Amino acid sequence: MSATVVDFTKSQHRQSQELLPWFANGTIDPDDRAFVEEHLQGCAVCRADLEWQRDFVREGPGEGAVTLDAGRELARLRLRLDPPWRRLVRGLDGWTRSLRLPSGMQRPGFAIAIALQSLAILVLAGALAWPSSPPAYRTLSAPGPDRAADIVVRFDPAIRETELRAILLASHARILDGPLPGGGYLLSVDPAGRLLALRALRGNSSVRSAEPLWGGEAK
Amino acid sequence: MLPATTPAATPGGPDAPGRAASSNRDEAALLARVVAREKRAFEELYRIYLPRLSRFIERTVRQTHLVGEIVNDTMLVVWRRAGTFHGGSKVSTWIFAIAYRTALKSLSRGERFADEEPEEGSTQESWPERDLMQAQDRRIVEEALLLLTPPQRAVIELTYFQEYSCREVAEIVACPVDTVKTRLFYARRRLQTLLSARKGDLR
Repeated sequence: MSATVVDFTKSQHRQSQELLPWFANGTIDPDDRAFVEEHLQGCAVCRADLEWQRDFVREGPGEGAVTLDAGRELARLRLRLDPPWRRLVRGLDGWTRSLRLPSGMQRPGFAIAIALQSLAILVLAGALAWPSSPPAYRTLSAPGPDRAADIVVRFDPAIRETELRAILLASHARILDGPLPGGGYLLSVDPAGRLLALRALRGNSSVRSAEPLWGGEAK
Repeated sequence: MLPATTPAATPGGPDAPGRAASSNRDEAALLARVVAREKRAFEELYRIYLPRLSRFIERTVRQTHLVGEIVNDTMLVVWRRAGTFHGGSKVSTWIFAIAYRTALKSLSRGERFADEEPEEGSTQESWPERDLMQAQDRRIVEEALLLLTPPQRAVIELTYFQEYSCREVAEIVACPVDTVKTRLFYARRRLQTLLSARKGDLR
C-alpha cells in the first residue's frame, strides 16, 4: 500500500517538474496552475527549481550574436521570390495580352513559345547576315573559281576520251567550257606555263587548232 | 504566502493575452493579404518576424552563418504556402513550425560541424567586475547549451524566451504535448548538471 502512495507522490512531483517551465512563463492552463501551486507549497525541490528557471531566463543566454538587416535580407529574398526569368515571362505575357489575341493564346506558355520562335528567327537572321568565309570543300555542281579561259582548242572529232584526258594532263590544262557551237573547248592553264601548254597542244596530232586568248604570242 | 511560487506575469503585463489575441488577428489579416499576393503585406510580416525568427534559429542551430539563410528559406515557404494556413493555430505558431523544420533540415545537410569563433572585442579585462561575472556565467550557459541537441535547445528557446505554451511548442516541433514536457524536463536536468559541473571547475 505504501508503495502506491510513494509512487503517487513521485508522480505528482514529476508532473509538477514537467509543468514548471510553463508555470514560470505564465502560459500554463488554469487547472495545471492550481495543481502546481498546491504542489509547490509542500515541495522545496520544485520551489528551488522554479527559482533556477527564473534565474536562467533572467541571466541565461544573452541576446543573439546575429543582427540581420531587414532591408538587405529582404532584397535577397525578393530575388528568390521574383527571379529575372519570371519577370521575363511576365513581360512576355503582358506583351501577348497587348496583342489582343484570342483568349486561348494569351497564356504564359504561348508567350514562351512566341519568345522561343522569335529567338530562333533572330539566330537564323544573324547567321545569314554574318559574313561567312568560303567553305573548305566544293560540291560537284558548284561553280569553280572565277578564272578566265586561256586557250580555245578544237580536237579531232574522232578523239577518244582517254586520249583527250592524256592531252589535258600533259599540258596542265582544264576544260572550263565546251563544246562550243563551233566544236571548240575553252581551257584554263597555269598562267606561268600557258605558252608551254599552247605549244604542247599544237604539237599533238589529235588537236586540230589551239589559239591563245590572252593576246600576242599566238604564233 | 508563497512569493516564489507566483507564476511569472504574462509577458507584456496583465492585458497581454488580449493584446496577443489582437496581434494574432493582425497577423492573420496580414497573412490573408499575403495569400492575395500582396508583397507589401509579406514584407511587413517579414519585418515583424525577422528578429524573433533569427533569435530562435540562432539558439536552435547555434551557427550564426546559417541564420539569415534559414530565415529566408522559412519566409519563402510562408510566401508560397500562405494559402494552406487555415487558422487552426496562431500565425506565429505556424511560422515557427516552418522555421523549426527548415532549421533541422539545414542541420541534416551536414552543416552542423562548423565551429563558431568567439566574438572579437569581448576583452574581459575592460569590463567591470559585475559584468565580468555575468559574462562568465553567460559564457558557461552558452557552452552548456551547445552540448544539448537542437530539438532540446528549440524547446528551451520556445518556452523560456519566446514564451509559448506547451501546446504551442508541441505544434511547432510536431510532437505530442507529453513528449515536449519530457524533452524539456530532461533538457533542463542536463543543463543544470552541465552548469554545476562547469561552475565547479571554475572554483
